[in-house]
Amino acid sequence: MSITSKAEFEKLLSPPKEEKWREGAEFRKANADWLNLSADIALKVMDEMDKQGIKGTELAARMGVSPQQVSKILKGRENLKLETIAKLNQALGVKIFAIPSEHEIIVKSDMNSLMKMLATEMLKQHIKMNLRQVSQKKQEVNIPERPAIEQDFSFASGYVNVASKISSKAGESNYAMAA
Amino acid sequence: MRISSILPVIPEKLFRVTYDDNGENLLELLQDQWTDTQWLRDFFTEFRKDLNDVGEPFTMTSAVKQTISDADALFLTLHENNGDNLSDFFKPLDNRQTTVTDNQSQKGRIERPRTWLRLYAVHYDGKYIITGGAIKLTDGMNRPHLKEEIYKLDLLRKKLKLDINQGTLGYLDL
Repeated sequence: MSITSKAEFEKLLSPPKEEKWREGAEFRKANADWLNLSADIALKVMDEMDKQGIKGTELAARMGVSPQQVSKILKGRENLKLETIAKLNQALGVKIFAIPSEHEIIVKSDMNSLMKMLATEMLKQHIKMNLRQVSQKKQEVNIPERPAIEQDFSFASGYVNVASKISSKAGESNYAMAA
Repeated sequence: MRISSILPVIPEKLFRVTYDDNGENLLELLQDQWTDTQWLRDFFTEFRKDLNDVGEPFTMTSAVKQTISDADALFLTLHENNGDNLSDFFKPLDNRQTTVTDNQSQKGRIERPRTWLRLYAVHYDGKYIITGGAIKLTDGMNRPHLKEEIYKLDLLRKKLKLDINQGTLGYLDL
């Protein structure tokens, strides 16, 4: 277990070797934007492969590339060519990565965010409507302003509760959808 | 498993262990695994229950993306600090231990909330010898891959203890 000979010591004292992880850290910092996109694409591809129940070899066959190339794509560190992205789209039958056209809008598919957004909009509309009613009432009769508004706002907690009960584990990726 | 050598990562400050004469750089291996979407997805699939118990809802995608981001920050911190502030990065493995001692097992992590990436090292005379690293989703060290890290730490601690006792450690300039 212990080091007992000078030869063993000298082996341990070998000069510093090249530490490639340091180079890797710099590379990843300098290329963070496309590496991030590459990871997103890889994750979407793997999700779609799971949905369709196919392995990397099947995807490679559909794309007309080697399994090794698919393996590299799935690591999420490949600077993918547009041609490769188009092949992925075609092989999986879905848009893994697309730029929305001028007639398309981006919809966030996170149900929790969507429900919160809807609840907020409904809340805003409701507040506007009630403020109008209060304003009209004020003109008709002289009633204290503050209690009336507080009463009208009491419904708000209901919307928030409904929104927060929606599962936040829904898919969270953005995708293009026809308007 | 046998420790075959201890190599300088940042001379006089940070070292790493190699095992079984395979010449593998454990920091390169960890960087490779922790930035590999497929490897991470497989890992979180295997430890899905632990991921669910982390305390906040993580999807597979968000867990993988957070790990990659944390890994990049961790390796960049080590690289850019160049051995400075290692005593801020590494802390005693046992949370109950408040003082740093020689031949003590330590864990290294970046200052980010809920980060689950850990490097493991043995501290000696202000220097750190990295034995490995892991994704730690649980409070304790009871998962097989975490037990293996404990085993590797103990392996080095035993080795250093023997070397100290025999008065040979000074030769390593540790």
